[in-house]
Amino acid sequence: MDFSYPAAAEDLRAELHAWLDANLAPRFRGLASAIAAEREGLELLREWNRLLADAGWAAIAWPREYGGREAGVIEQVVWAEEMDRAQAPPLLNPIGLSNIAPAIMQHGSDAQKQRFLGRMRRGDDIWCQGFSEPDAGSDLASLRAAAVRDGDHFVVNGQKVWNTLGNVAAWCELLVRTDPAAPKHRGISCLLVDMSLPGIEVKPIVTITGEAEFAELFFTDVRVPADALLGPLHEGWRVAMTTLNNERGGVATLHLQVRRRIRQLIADARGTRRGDGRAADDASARRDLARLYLAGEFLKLLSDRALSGVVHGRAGPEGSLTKLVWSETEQEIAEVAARVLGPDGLDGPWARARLHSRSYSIAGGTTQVNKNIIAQRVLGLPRSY
Amino acid sequence: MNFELTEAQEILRQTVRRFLAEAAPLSPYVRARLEDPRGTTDSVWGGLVDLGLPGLLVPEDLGGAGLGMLEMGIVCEELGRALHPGPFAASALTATSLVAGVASPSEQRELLPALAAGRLVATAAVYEPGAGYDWARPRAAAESRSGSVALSGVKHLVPAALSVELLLVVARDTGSGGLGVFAVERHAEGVVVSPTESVDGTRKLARVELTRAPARRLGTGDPRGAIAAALDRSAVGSAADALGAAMRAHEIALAYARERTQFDRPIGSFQAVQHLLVDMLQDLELARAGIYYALWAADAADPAERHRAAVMAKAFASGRLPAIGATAIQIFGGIGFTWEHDAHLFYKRLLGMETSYGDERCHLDELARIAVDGPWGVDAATGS
Repeated sequence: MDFSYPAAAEDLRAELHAWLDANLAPRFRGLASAIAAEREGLELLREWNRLLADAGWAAIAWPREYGGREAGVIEQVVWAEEMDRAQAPPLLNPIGLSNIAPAIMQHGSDAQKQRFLGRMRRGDDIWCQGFSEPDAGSDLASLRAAAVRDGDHFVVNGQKVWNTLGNVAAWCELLVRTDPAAPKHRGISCLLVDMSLPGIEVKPIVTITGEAEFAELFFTDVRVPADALLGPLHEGWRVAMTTLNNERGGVATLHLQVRRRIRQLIADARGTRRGDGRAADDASARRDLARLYLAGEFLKLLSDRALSGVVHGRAGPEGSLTKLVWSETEQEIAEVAARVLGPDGLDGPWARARLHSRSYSIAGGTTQVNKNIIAQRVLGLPRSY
Repeated sequence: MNFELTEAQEILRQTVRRFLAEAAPLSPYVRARLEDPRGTTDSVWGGLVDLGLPGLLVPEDLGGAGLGMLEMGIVCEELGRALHPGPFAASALTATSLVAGVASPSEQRELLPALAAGRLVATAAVYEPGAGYDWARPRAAAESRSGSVALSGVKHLVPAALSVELLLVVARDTGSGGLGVFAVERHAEGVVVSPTESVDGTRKLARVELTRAPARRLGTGDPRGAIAAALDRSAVGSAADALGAAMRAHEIALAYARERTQFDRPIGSFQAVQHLLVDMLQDLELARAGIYYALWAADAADPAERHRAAVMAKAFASGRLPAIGATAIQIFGGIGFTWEHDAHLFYKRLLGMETSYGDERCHLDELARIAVDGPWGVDAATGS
């Protein structure tokens, strides 16, 4: 065992560290993600994202021909560690960069690659995905939004929901049914849709925190040019499931934010008076905080094992489990904050975190669906319903 | 980033696993030892010696294998998986680490080769009734009188004390006023060892009463750092043992869920059962990551990090692994609640581990000292 990183990764760290020192101006620090940002914050984020992209730091996992560095998984982890250390703002286009771009690179025409990838990387265009529908959530392939060919266009009708960044996106990777007679995974196509086309209505979804974190998209006779088709007709399912082969750094760095939040809670508990002393002096609060700290540290070690498995070609269950552990830990942070801070945690960021944390066991596959998948794929148990 | 075991380490695991399956299977070997205070046989102990296992941590020039805690952890995990009884960890891990930490070079040359060869079996007598896990202020005391040392006091939760020749007793040295580690022959005058009833029949705990027992002090300096380090290593070894037992409990429950049919289908096709098995897997993989990190740190990291990793590993093992044994019983249903079935043996091994070398509460309190009071919580804003 050896927990050090290869020299090439450390070189990358040093280079990025120096670049961040020189370029991460105070006005960029602590910006919220584009999901929560107001208009003004969004433009600052865009300015930062362009700076990052033009220096080659916005999409390091991408191939060089599209402006990336062909960085491997360890380099991606180093990148995330450095961005976290410097408290750099989040990327403007997270879904585009890691989910949509790989599909365009693999299945797109030259014209599509030319047109979209550079602008996506710089954050000139924000992208969203139009996948889920009111009746197609965990069972995505039962989607019903339809596109019918009419001359040089597809005519799109239907509704999408839970569109992250939908209210600010200029483009959408849209899944539509193009062959209603085919089995449900086979009759789907993928369209790259300009969100300014007539007939598209975007309605924010206000979540339990009061923020408009997602949007609903309504398509009414939207005429989408035929060249918007990504990949072959009726093969949109396969196209949409494309991910970058080495794009595994994301799961391996979920612990960074978790551990930062735990550090913040410990600092807050030390700074909050409760009764005769500090919130951090109470014996049961101390055990709560210690258990939470342990959860964060073990999430990191589980991620390290997942990472090591990827690097050394060992197929292990750690990667599948990371999301479950991460969502539980995020929720536990918010619960412990409420217990430890008492009335001081009733409003402000910890109260928001407590509400927001409920989404972690739903988004990206509910905990229950994930457990079904792990039971079948990792433990080899029969399919269940 | 390499969290993998080497080929040699995997071979060690397979070798130990094969030996235990052949020489010391659950039935009849382990079950026959449940009521036997010695917990081992000459032939099985001899087999462990033939594999060189008691000398794993002893340097090569003193007759050992010169290996480290990762290898020791692998062996402990396999012993736990096989629910192996006997004095192995007490002697080869705790007592050996204590001797290596506190004894003078000449004492080490005398004791370590014998421990490595399995000729000498020893255990550490650390904890006292009513004192919890606070070992640093013992009531047991050693008095020097005309060149000989006499030790008096009561120790409890002493592992394998009925099957060892040598007791390493933590006691006050009335001469210096400080703490010392004293070697006491188990069969000497003034030594009474009585077995303690324990939920786990595979772990033989005993109470040791010393009345002016002849003793000799090992080493001369302040032994507190070395004792703390040996206990940290023992805590991680105990956690590794529990990991093996919990892994095996999960395996047999998973196999049962695949083959047991009710309502015309395997019970493993029910989500309620699947989710129990996934919850177990989640805690097992977290435990594996944390325990193997602590084993690595025990030799490779600085002392503060070694300690932090050990505390975290044992806090997690004590807090979460017993539930894996309980859940295995749940998956087996009625048959899992019977004496005849093996499920309870795994559960009991985990319950024995729960409080050995510090329970969850003791380790969480120590972790709070490290993480809540330490520098860690201070600079959340700067993030270093």
